[in-house]
Amino acid sequence: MNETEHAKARPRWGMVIDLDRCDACQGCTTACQTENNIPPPTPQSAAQDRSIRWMELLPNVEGEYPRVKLRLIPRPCMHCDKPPCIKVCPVGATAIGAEGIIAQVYARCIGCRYCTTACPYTARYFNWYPPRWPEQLSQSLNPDVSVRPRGVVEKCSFCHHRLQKARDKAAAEKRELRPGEYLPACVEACPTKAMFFGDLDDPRSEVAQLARSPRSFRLLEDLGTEPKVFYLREGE
Amino acid sequence: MAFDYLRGVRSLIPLWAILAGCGSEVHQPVGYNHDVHVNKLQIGCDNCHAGSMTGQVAGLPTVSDCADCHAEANGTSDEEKKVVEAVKANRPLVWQRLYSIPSHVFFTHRRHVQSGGIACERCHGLMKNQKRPPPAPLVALTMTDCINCHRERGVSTDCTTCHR
Ligand code: HEC
Ligand code: HEC
Ligand code: HEC
Ligand code: HEC
Ligand code: HEC
Repeated sequence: MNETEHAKARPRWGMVIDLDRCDACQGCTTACQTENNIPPPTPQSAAQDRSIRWMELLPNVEGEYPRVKLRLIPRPCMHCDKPPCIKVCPVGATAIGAEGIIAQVYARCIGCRYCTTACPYTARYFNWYPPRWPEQLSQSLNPDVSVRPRGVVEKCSFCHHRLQKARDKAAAEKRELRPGEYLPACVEACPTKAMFFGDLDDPRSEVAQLARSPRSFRLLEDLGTEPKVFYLREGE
Repeated sequence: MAFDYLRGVRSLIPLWAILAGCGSEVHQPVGYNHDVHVNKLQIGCDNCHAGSMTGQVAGLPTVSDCADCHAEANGTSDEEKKVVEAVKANRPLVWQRLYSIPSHVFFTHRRHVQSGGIACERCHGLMKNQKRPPPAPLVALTMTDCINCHRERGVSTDCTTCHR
């Protein structure tokens, strides 16, 4: 199999978040936090604005007092097709894969934080502290996700460890990966079903269709980063 | 490009150098003999490493895997006596890990052994001929080995394929 054939057969993973259905409950943030062994914020980290949130609710204020409207927009890593973070990494610790997922290899990261600065979505976080959990929680870490040491940058991975396991299972059962078999934890947890995930290159997939809807937009689209996270604005 | 850079850096510090540097020899509770069990008695690997063909993790045997044959001594070896004692007392034999990769790497046996058709020897050397537990891995498996074979076989070399 040559490189191009291989690349063609592979999906391009993307996410759609319907802001009309999202009620900002933060279920996604919590699910992400437990799934990915993200240490909970501490008073210190909160005071210094150094808490880690791979999935964050960005506040967006519309209108002027007294007619203000606060909208909270869930923000994972955008897994840009043209990622600015990769260009600035001096050691190749972050890279885009054939399926469009932006990898962060902690073992390679030297903690220079160029990427956190380059990312226009502020999706990247530096580990300012050694990871710590309250006693009860430290026994229930997810073994499929490694714990990041102090001094490296981390970010949303689209829960690609779930893809690793789903692929392994599919191969053992001698079949292709089924649509919906690989979902990030946030999408799975969303109680209002506001999040969708799948192959953007498969025209029949739900995400591909939603991404093409007139309600669809992407954050800071004019920067040309080509994010693979699409939002649906309020619609009819 | 990242790969070429990495290969340059990584080849300076191969895993065996690190292992040798630490001088961390593995000591097993019993002088187990692969040669006798595999070559003479023809016991399949998956009898003792239950997940090596169908699971993600190969696993190491528990004392109950030895109980069928070692409730009484078959021979005169002192090492076997230890096993018989453990079986009688139902005392666990705590095997030390020989091969292990860091927690930030995902590896799955069934994918390589089953769908990949790769022999155990390719990654573990001639374990089946060992008369005593080896004190160090027979093959130093590094990322370069994983990548080289993946390239040869047209398997993905994206960082996210292995790292997590
Ligand atoms: C299917 C039967 C069987 C099973 C299962 C089995 N053994 Fe044995 N084992 C034997 C026999 C038979 C011998 C004697 C072989 C001989 O002396 O030629 C032996 C010999 C040994 C010896 C002595 C080897 C030597 O160098 O002389 C040790 C140690 C041993 N077994 C450990 C174990 C352990 C530990 C397990 C479980 C993980 C185990 N065996 C499982 C059948 C078995
Ligand atoms: C009767 C049980 C038994 C059988 C059959 C058996 N093994 Fe083992 N194996 C063990 C025990 C006990 C250990 C730990 C002691 C040692 O290292 O020798 C072990 C250790 C190993 C290890 C090192 C594991 C680690 O900690 O990283 C490898 C690799 C291995 N075996 C491969 C094989 C292969 C390949 C076969 C088939 C050709 C096989 N074994 C068959 C019992 C068995
Ligand atoms: C493509 C390389 C590869 C092949 C082929 C392979 N292994 Fe492994 N094996 C590994 C790696 C890598 C580890 C370390 C896994 C870890 O740390 O999670 C390992 C670990 C093990 C262990 C230690 C316990 C464990 O599960 O971590 C045993 C036992 C073992 N292998 C047995 C086998 C047997 C038996 C076969 C053949 C049926 C086999 N392996 C084939 C790469 C391989
Ligand atoms: C001797 C060749 C060989 C070596 C060495 C090897 N692999 Fe593989 N690997 C393969 C093959 C072949 C496949 C695809 C199997 C299939 O067709 O399903 C594969 C598949 C994988 C997959 C699943 C890929 C996917 O697209 O889902 C992972 C993960 C993986 N290998 C990790 C590793 C790691 C980690 C190492 C080193 C410790 C390693 N491999 C060493 C041959 C190898
Ligand atoms: C086929 C599997 C595989 C792929 C693909 C892969 N790695 Fe690795 N990597 C490993 C394994 C296994 C180890 C641990 C063994 C070792 O240190 O050689 C490792 C270790 C490393 C280490 C060293 C960690 C240390 O503590 O020394 C770095 C850095 C690294 N990988 C970076 C990368 C980057 C960057 C990419 C993508 C460009 C990548 N790897 C792709 C399997 C892989």
